[in-house]
Amino acid sequence: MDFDEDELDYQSQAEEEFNEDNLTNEEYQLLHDLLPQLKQKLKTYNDEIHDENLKESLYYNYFEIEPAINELKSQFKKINMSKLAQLAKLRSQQRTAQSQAKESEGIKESKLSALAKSRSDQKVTQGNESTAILDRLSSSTTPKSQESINEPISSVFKKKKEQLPKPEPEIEKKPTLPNIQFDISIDDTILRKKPKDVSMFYFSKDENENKRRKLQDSIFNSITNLPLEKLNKTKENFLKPSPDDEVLSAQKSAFEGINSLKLEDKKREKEKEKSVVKTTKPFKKIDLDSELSSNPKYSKPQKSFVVIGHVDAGKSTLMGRLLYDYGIVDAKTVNKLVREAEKAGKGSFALAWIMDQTEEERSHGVTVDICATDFETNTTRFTAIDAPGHKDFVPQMISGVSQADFALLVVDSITGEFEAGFAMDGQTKEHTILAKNFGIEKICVIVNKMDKEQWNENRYDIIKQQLTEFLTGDDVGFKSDQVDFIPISGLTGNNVIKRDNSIEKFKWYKGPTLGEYIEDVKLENKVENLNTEEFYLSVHDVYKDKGELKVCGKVSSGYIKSGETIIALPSEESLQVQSIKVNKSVVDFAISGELIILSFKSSQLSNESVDQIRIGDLITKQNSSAKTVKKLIANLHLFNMDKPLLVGMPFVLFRNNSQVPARISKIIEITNGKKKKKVLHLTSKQDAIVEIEIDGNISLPITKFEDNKVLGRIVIRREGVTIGAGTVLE
Amino acid sequence: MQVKSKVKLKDKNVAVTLIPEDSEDLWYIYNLIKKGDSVSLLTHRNVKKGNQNNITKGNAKMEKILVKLKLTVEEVDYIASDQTMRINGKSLVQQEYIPLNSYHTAEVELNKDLTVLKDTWDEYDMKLLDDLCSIEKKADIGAVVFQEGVAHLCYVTNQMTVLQAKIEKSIPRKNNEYGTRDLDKAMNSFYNMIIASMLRHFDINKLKVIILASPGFLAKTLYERLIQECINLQNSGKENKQFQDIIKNKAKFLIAHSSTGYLQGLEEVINDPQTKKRLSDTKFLEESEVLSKFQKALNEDDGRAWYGLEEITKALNLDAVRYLMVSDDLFRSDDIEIRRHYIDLTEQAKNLGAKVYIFSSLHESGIQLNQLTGIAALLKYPVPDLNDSDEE
Repeated sequence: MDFDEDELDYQSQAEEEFNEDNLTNEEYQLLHDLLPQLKQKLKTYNDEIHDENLKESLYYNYFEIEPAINELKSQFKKINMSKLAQLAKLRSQQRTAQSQAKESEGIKESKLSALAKSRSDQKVTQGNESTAILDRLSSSTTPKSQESINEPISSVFKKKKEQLPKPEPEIEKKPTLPNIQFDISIDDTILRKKPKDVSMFYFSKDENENKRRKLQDSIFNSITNLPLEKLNKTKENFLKPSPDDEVLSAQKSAFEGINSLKLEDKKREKEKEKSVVKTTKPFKKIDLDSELSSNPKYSKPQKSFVVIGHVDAGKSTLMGRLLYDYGIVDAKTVNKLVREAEKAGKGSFALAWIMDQTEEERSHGVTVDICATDFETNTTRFTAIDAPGHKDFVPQMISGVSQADFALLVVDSITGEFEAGFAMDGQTKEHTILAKNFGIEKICVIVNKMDKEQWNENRYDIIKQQLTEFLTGDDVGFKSDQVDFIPISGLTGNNVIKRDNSIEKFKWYKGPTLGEYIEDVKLENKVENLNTEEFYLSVHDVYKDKGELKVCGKVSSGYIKSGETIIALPSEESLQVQSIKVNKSVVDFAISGELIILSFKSSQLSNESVDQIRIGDLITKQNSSAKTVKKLIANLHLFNMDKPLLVGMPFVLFRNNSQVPARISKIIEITNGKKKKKVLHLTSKQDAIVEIEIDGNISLPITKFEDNKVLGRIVIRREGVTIGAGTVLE
Repeated sequence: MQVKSKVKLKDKNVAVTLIPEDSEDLWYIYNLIKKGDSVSLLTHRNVKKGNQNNITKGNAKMEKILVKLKLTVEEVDYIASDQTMRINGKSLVQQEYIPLNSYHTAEVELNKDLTVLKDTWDEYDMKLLDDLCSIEKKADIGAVVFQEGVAHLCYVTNQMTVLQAKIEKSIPRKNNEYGTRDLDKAMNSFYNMIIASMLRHFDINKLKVIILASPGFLAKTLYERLIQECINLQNSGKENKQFQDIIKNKAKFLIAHSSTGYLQGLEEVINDPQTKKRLSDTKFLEESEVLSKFQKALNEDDGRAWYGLEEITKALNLDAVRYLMVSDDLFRSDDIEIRRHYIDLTEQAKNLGAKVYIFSSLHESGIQLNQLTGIAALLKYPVPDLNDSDEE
């Protein structure tokens, strides 16, 4: 790069308005790493310079400290504060802190207070800098914790006064915190109108950090980071057909024979050719990328899991913690959320807000709808689904469960809370029953909030025993090797990905962390029958974007390629797939188990003003065995009910993620219990073969259970309670 | 409904003249009029005018005339969604342009006289007449049962639940790439659709209660938005009577909880103790309460709950019945014998001290009862083997 270019580059950058939120993740991290150093160096010169100015100068000086200092020195005058002035300043700081503490008295005790308390014990000795942090921390907590801290603070303040006349000594800036806790103190600085202190996350430079960085790189710059020769080699490799392509092209030719019977055949054939051209030329780069991720598809297993459990058990927080610790969500986003959560007086909800994005969810502190995220670790590709725990949102939870292979059942270990979630009307039971009936293979019980129970082994064992009994009992029917237990704390993050060995009370636990568990868990591999399976996708989400209709969902069986024509049931709309996206990157095909986004031209819809494809619809190819029906015959197993299920009594029928109102029109046979001459009602715990009729002018696309294990399952609910589950016979 | 006159005719039949006032009255009349009764009412009829010659040639003028017709009833239709009722029959009296025994279908109009003539007025008919004249027993409820993406607006009275509008909208999910932008937009328009539809279908001054029911917090949000919208409109200076009415009748809104947004959620709402308080003792509330008692007993299988004509007849003979539930469908039978049989049955039950409920088949509870043969009873004491003897 020659000089001129450099100059140009500089100018264009300098013209840019500095805005912290516009920085890339790396820049952001760098900025916050350097900021405390810079501050330290400037402290003796002038410690009244605002963070914003510091950050800005750092940014314009390419994150070099020395030029930044010079620039700042030219901008700001040196302030020689008299001893008195400094004292006054200190007092005023103290006063604001106290008044803030008073303000926060009204706020319910947050989970933060406990955090603050535990930290106050370790940190008093850390010197002036940390007292400032502590001071602020305690200010956002309840008076109770304030009391416990007050004493050490005042002693340190005394010390500070003595030191004031002479220049302050260099203080070790790296806190000796255990790295699992993220420092929430920072957001208080933002709460104040004029932040005076460093706003950052403390990451000690250990392997975890490196790992996370590496991860980020591999996600965002998967190609560019590869050495050139390797890149070339992969390029060469992909010029010839991959093993997948060979298989798929064989399938394609097999399928083409059938398709030639169809009317649309010619048009489709043409489209296919077009799309082949498309994928080879302009999308070459993306093509590589997609292949990179699709090739290890067979070495790197694809797993999807759903987080379920009673309301307030900490599902969303755990989910946020997983994403944060795996580095999927960067510090910047979390920082912002912590800020917002603090503002709303809900500090402990910060991590949950990664998943709970809507106004409604945040203001009520309850997850309403499921939220699916893809992420990748060194060994596995994951689809993680966060489900709502509230009773009212079980329909949404069902659609989450129907997309998952295994489930993480989160239970609150706090005395009283666990019992409430596990009692008759608690969601713990209903969720597990639903999970079992929607074909979840493995369930891992996450005993959450163990920090609040002082990592007590007895407590863990009691919960484990109770739940094992229930999960393997008659009501649910998991086998004992399908159930696992892990104690964690989602808020502090202990035993989620990282394990904090400094907690003495937790030494008894010898098992894996949650991260290790989800990477190691063995699942049945479903990829084998790809050739013979029919393609089914149940629609999880539909939205319009820039004139394109996007349909999102999990491929429950078979495969789809871009350019193929699909049929949406029950509207029988046929559309041509324009592109397929997996994990935010465009791919040429998608296979069973993947969460994909299909995009269509909305101009192809027969009637644009009407919603032709709805959430819960089924997308399939031509000649599928799925039928759109109004009546179906099912084998039904009923649970405990407070009212009998009468013929004609309405209920809501769930299949995968669609729901319809329905009622039983005929009881064909009761398979267990005494047989009566004419039966028009079913009571608790009966098994029966029944004919179900769907209410209104709605029809439901469905397949037999033997044809498709996922789509052939149904669950019925009435008045907010799950009353039965079954399989479709006809 | 008004009963204008009851006249005893020469042939000892009684003629009752009624004036229906709202759609619910039509439903009563529908239950009252049977095949073979005669009715007289004002109706429109297309007739061909001109001389006989022209009529046979087919170039006569068609004209719609208003005539008072007397018909023998052959068929009665009631369409709940349209709230219309039609009587089909043969004319009994010859008039100009209308020959004897010519068929005519008359639509029963509100606020017009309708005279009904029956050979016999039985107990059920008398009870109906009694019921339809008591205004204070009436409950007019507007209800919005909804969840994300689907809403049902209905109108509930003593005798029926009428679905007035169904709103469906596809609501996108929250999404990692786009956040909640689309979701918020869609929810906004969904709420607006509901509000617009409420304004169109509900006459807020007439309704006693308006129930907003949904899972989660949606109902509350809807209420807040509705009120907010009204206030905004007021502040902006635009005068709108409907919005003013809403603010005036704010207290009529009842926010309730249901597990689903489908119509079946309404039953749940009505059985909710919180709602019951507000609705006080309306007839259908009692009905659904009895039905849920019955269902509970049925679930326990303790031999107190039975359904089916044979079983109930036996139970009545044992004097074991506490509550007898009969669907009005059974009384609508064309066969006088069957109808008589059910009337006798209910009379017998009444005489034995049992409480008799006649369920309207336009309510959810009535529909369910119809599925259970239309007749059911909750007994005073368990009788385990009511249905066994006739199997042998």
